[in-house]
Amino acid sequence: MSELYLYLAFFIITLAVSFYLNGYINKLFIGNKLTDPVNERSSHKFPATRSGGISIFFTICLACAFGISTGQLTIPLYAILSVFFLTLTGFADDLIEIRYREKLFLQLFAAILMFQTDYSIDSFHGVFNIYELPYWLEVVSSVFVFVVVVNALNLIDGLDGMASFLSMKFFLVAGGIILVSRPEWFLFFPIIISALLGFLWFNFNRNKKVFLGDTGSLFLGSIMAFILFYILDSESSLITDNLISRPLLAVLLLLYPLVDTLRAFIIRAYNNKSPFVADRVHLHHRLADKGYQHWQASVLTFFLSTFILVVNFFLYSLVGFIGCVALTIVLLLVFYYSFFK
Amino acid sequence: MSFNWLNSQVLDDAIELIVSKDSLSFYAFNKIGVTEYTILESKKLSKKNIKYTKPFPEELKNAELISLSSLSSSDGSVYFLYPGGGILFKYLNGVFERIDESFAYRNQYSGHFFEYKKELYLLGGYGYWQSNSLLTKFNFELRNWELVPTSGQVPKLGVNAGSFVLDGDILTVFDFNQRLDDLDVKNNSLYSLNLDKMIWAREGLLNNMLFSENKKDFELVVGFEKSLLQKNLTDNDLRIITPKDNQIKFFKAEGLHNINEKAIIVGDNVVYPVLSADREYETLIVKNLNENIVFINEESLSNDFNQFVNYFIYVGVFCGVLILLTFIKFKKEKLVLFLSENSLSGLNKTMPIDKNEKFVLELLTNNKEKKVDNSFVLNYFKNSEISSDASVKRKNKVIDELNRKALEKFEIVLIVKQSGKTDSRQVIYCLNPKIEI
Repeated sequence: MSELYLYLAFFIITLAVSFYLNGYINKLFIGNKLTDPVNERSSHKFPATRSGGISIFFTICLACAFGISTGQLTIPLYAILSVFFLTLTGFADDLIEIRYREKLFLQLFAAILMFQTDYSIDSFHGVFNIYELPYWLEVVSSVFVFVVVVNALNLIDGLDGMASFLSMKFFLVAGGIILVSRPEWFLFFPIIISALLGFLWFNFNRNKKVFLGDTGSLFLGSIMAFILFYILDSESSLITDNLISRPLLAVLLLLYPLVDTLRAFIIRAYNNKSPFVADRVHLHHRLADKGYQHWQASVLTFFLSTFILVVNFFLYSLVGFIGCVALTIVLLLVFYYSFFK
Repeated sequence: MSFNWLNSQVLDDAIELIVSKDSLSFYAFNKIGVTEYTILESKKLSKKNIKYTKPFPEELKNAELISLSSLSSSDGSVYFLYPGGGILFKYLNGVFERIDESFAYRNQYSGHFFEYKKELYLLGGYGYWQSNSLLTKFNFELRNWELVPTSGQVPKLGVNAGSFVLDGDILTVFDFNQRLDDLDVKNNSLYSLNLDKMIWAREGLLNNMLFSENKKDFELVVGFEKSLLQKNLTDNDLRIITPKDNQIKFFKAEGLHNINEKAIIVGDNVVYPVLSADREYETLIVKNLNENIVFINEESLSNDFNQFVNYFIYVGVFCGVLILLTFIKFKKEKLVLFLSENSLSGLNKTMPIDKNEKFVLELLTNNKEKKVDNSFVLNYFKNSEISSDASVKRKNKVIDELNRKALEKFEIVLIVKQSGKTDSRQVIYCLNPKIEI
């Protein structure tokens, strides 16, 4: 029970800090005329800033520093280094627009830093009947997944609340796994959820609108990538091993970002466009174009992707890996034709 | 059943190692001979002394028998494995002899020595500065040990000083150390080894109360039936782990205060030798296990599932509250529309408007209270060329058309009619309070 109070205390304090910092840093950005330009792709009509990411970053740094100094939290050093490096990359991108190739190079460097945490994708856990991977494939898979996850989160950050809701889904589910298998890391989860809630208030606010920006999406994406490394590392012990396959769980945790990114890349390739070009082919743009308000689109996407995750959790022991993959594809098609088409 | 039995008044006869034979009898070994005891209903022990008929093996002359791993086989023999693996002894019908032609391997210290389908196996252990998860089987024909290949989710960093329970074809392995960066690190997973298929599987995660435990705290570890008894000899706490039921039961065992590391389980009884304080004589103590332990509580062995489920109950409540609050916030929030020269836009939709419609909307938005008298609106539509009636019709048509288009586009009416406060016959046009332009 005392642990519950501890988590609640950190949750409430972090929420207050996040709320304050989001407001304060937003003011600083506006004061320095660092507002997000309104263009034909923008869904906002009022001046807004990309200060959300840096506010979340500072909030989490403060809360984690407090957690670590009181002995309630531990975080692997290389994970911190990698996340910091990528956050700074995102911050620079928000301010001076880094070219994509340079950004990719910096992401690769961050991925290699993350690889030093001793957690990596060293096994396919039986997918295609493959278990242990040779070292070179372990490095390639880990770096590839890192880059995909980080960019997928960046790409879905197109509607108010979308990235925050889907990140919250990821962290809420991953938190349950970490709570049992690595309790010394768990405090990070109430911290990041409350930091996101503080941001969400401003993200939904019409007059003081704040976006995650590249800082936030790269920051959150790199944390997610680390947690995926932990989940997919054969040396880590997960409570979900009896409930669901690890690779399936990893995909389901990031289902919407992965599906949307894959779909956008395919459409762009089909239209002979660069896969990295900014446009409005994302699924959430379809929802917005159909008249869903941003919050409605975000909540709907959150709900649908959570529903698919829960269904897989319940049915995995009955239908197995292949059955779950087929079921997920069917559900995705049904939802696509019901809501997105 | 609890009683003490004077075993010996001469220390030369002191029991070095006791091994359970079946549910009623057990062997007590020393270097001179073996005594076969049977527990009688009369709370007595029947005793049969047997002197070894062949010379006791040289290799064990200077060794303590308690350091050997022993097991009682289904064929009546008792096997003893030298620490580290390799050298194997057998006791049967008064003969205690070495039966292998191998050498002391010394790379499987603290490995698990067990019998499965009349074959002897040794799993895991520690030696030459590393742990391993080797499974070796004794070949009775070649009188040597051979490696048994295993597959699946092998705990590749080693299985050292673990806890093991054999139930049918499944050997449950848990609570063991592995070697990581030259350090012994606890592996917190629960593994099973299917001995029929020789496939390892990770079954899940141990209850996290076991995570930080020091294995050396449990000096007494006794396997019996399909469970494992563990006891710290410095206190009265005892626990019994049954992997089949995913269960750890905790007990207070004040009645077993003088139990020691030589204890075994024989049927329902725990048996152990105790030396007198002056070391003059030795007593065998037989105590009914169930009568001497008091149940305290129970935990699950693997997967702290309750914690996991409780967490998701909180998460479900949190998500519900979050979505509800979001819903309430946006239900209370006004719909924002943007008025431009020839359109009204919002929600990623655009509604074309003409100059008359724009004028009406501007009249409303420029007013502080977002209200405007009918007469003000009508003045705009008045024209000397048309009758007053026609002006009213034009005004009404513009307002109705605006509302119709808005309802079609944004699913909301833009302008609502109200009666004047002082004169109920007076009409006032108001901007829908749920809209902000």
